[in-house]
Amino acid sequence: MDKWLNLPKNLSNPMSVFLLVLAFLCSPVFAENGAPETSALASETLELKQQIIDLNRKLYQFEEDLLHPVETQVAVFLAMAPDTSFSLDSIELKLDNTLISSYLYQEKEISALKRGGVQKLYVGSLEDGKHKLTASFNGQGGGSRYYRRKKAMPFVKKSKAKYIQLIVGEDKRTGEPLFKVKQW
Amino acid sequence: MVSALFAKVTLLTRHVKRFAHRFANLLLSALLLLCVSLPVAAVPDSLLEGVVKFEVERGNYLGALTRFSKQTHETYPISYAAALTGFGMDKDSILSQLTRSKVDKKSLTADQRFRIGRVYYKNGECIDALKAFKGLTNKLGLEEKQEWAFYRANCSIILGSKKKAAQVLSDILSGLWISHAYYNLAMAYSEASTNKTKAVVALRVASSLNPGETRAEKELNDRVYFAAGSFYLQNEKARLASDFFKKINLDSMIAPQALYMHGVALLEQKDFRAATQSWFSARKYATIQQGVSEALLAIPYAFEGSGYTTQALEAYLEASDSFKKELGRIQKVKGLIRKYGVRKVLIEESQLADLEWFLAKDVAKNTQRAAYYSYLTQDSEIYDTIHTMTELQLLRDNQQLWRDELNVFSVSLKSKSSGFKKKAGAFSRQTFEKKIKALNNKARKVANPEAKSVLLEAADELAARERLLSKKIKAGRSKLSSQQKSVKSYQRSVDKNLKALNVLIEKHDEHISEMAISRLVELESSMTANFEKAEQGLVHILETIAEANNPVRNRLNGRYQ
Repeated sequence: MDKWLNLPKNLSNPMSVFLLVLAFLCSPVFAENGAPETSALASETLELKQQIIDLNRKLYQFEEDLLHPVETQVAVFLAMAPDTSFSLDSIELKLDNTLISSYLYQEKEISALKRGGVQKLYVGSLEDGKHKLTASFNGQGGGSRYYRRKKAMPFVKKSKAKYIQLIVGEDKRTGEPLFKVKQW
Repeated sequence: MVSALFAKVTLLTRHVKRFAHRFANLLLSALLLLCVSLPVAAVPDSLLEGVVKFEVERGNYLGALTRFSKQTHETYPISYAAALTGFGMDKDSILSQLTRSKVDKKSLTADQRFRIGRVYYKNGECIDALKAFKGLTNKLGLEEKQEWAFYRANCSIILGSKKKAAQVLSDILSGLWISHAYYNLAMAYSEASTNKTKAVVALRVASSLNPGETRAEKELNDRVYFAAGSFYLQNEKARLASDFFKKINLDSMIAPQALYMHGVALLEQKDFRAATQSWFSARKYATIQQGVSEALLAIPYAFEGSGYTTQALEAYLEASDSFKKELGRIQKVKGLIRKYGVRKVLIEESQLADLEWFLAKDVAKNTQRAAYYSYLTQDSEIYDTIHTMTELQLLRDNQQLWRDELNVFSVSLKSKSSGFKKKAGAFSRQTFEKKIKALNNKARKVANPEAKSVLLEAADELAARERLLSKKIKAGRSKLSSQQKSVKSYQRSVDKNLKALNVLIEKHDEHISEMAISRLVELESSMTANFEKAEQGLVHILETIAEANNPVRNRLNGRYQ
């Protein structure tokens, strides 16, 4: 018995195992709750963050005014029907046969779209007259089938801003993806 | 005579038209310049709400807060509150937005109530969250329903009702959210009672509902296995415990701890050899990890237990050496943090010569730097402060980007302004007015009434255009100058923010460094204790060997007799 007395206590003591387990066990996952920030540093940070939000808001507005004036502005938006099983991988946009935007989707963005989010895909300037917007959609539909669909939309740009919304849905009977267009 | 007059009138009209055309061109260019100052068209409400929601749901909170006017945010208080929460803003203003959103409670959709509840939950307001979540059982999509169940279960646990949490989770749901919720429930059961049966059942459910495919799912599974193994070990079911510990991935964050605990479980089963193997595997991780330190001390203990005295002696020597080296490393890291601050030593990419040894990557995932970073971030205050500092660094990048854009705008506006001045300079109002006057005089001299009317009309039109053009040129000049002034003022504001951000980042770095040093002092004392334990073990073995070689029958050696 005497032989064991000077050995490391951490193994012979069941309590030490228990404490070790407690130390090792990760805390419960109670999401992103943070402790209330009360220190001077925290309030200084909050104040600066608010200043940056306010300035960025003005800067964003200024940039929009400068680069995309209302007469020439054209913007393309993308939305998804909430009950669609189509999972968008990527999209390519062409305006008058020139590639203007391409986008690869992350899981979080698809989830945001399915929850009613609308993505501003493109904003630019365009002269008045007839134009053609072409959108190519790539993604997986029901039954893990891969689809690549193209949708061409001729439109007329007049002397005010033009908004085009692409809506990804699916045919309830066939399960094939459907693409609708809404214009403002 | 009449034909000659008509010819003259036609010529004059052509001249007038050409003149008007030239000025129309000038007018057009002036208008183009003015276009830049026109207000942005209002995006239809249905689109705008969706755009705000998209930015919030994908986690671009600053984008959601800055891309849309204050008025827009006030129209959509739920999204605004969610964005403020995500960006870590003041809780009172978030709660006031939520109160506004609930003014007309009856008109709220299930989705809106879910989002209100989520913001309450994230702000630690469980009672309000549960109120908002009420009655949504069959009104949400599958993904939202899983999240909803997670928040409700966690709120029930926080408010002290594990029974309610279990009821919430009894619905047929699966996936990462629900698996997390069961894990939390297991932890709550374990804290409440020494009997771990309920906790183990909850962990088994957590594991069965987790697909274990993605990285996050695998990491959660590892935590579930670790917890289950630990509970079984506490309840003296070592075989079951070791089954769980060996399921944990070796690239998991808790791998060293799991290897150590696996060894303990094997030791409980009297399998000394397997136990030492498990502890040997733990040695490849950094010594500052608690599991590794424990394993280093456990190896000689197991050798000694199985009667391998020489191996035990060597293992104690090795452990003692490792702890000594680590103590030296802790000293160095403390010195580096004092000299450079945590940001340069542990967070940012660094090229400092003093840090080369520290940054060396023996195994990609296992650098000394990563081990120290991971050790320090186990302290929640350090973790939160590093999070805030990283956020401030991102804001600094954002402001730097704006500064670059403003520089481009400044150059572009300068060139527009000089082009405008050049074109406007070509336009002389006096000359133009003189020509119109001459045209009017000539028209009055024309006897033919039709020709006279054509000429007078043309002169009037030209005069009207001239007035418009003068007005536009004046407005354009002032608009361009105001835009240039705006750019300068924005540049000043951005520079001011950058300066403030740098100061604040420094302050955070100092604060983190102070906390890190005090944590390292704690680590140093625990490492010293480990070193002493190893030395004691060594002395003990040497004593045992000495005693075996020189048996002393009477330990008192004649004293007190």
